[in-house]
Amino acid sequence: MLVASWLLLGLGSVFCLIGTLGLMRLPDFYSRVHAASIIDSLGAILILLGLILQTQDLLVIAKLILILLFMMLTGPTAVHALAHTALLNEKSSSTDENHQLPE
Amino acid sequence: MLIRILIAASLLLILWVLLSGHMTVLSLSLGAASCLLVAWLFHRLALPDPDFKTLYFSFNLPRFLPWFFLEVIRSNLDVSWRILHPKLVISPVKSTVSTKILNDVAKTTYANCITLTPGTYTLNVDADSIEVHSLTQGTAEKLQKGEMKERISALQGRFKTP
Repeated sequence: MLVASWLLLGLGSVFCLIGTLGLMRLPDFYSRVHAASIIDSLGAILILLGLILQTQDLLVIAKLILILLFMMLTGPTAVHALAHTALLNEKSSSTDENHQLPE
Repeated sequence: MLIRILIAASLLLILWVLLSGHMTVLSLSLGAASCLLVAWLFHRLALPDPDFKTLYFSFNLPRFLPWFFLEVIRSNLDVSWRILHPKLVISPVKSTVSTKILNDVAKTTYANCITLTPGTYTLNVDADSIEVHSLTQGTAEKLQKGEMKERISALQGRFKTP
């Protein structure tokens, strides 16, 4: 049980690291958002699953599952808000030739 | 109307008990009172849903979720591999997916599912289409084939017409 838990925690951390690496390696704003969503999805899921295996307390497990569910709702919402704003900014400043999104 | 408020309130009460962990009369009665208040407020705020569309939709989710989680894991591995690849094999592209066959609940679910799967995310949602940014040409084409859309459309069951 404990071995599986640490395995999941380790794997989750690896995916968070890959996401961070992608955030720095990918060339433009829109691609970088993809890297951030790795951290949001598999990174968070694996770490929370690992934490669930750390405890026998049903109440704590229920709370961790709730955190997981809420993250599955807030993550995409945040990503969409970010990307949508970038898109709107791009459209409103399309006349400005020199304007570019921060890289 | 009263039934819907009571259903919402009892679901909220389960959440209250889970989060508080106390089973005393004081805690439970305070919880019940606030759950009823919240359910009533939300009944006034939320859009009318007289056919229990949302409820029917959630009952069908267990059929969809296992496939979806596998899809999330698969696309996570794909994007991770692309990030770690020395040459960064990506071909970012924007595309538009039609959502004409989906109702409002399904549209929201579809847009959220697209964003939850790494490699694709929703840029803009219109009345009958979704604008998507994909990390590679391949994922964009996969989205156009519409397997995920068909599965979500199957969740709607008898509420197929938007």
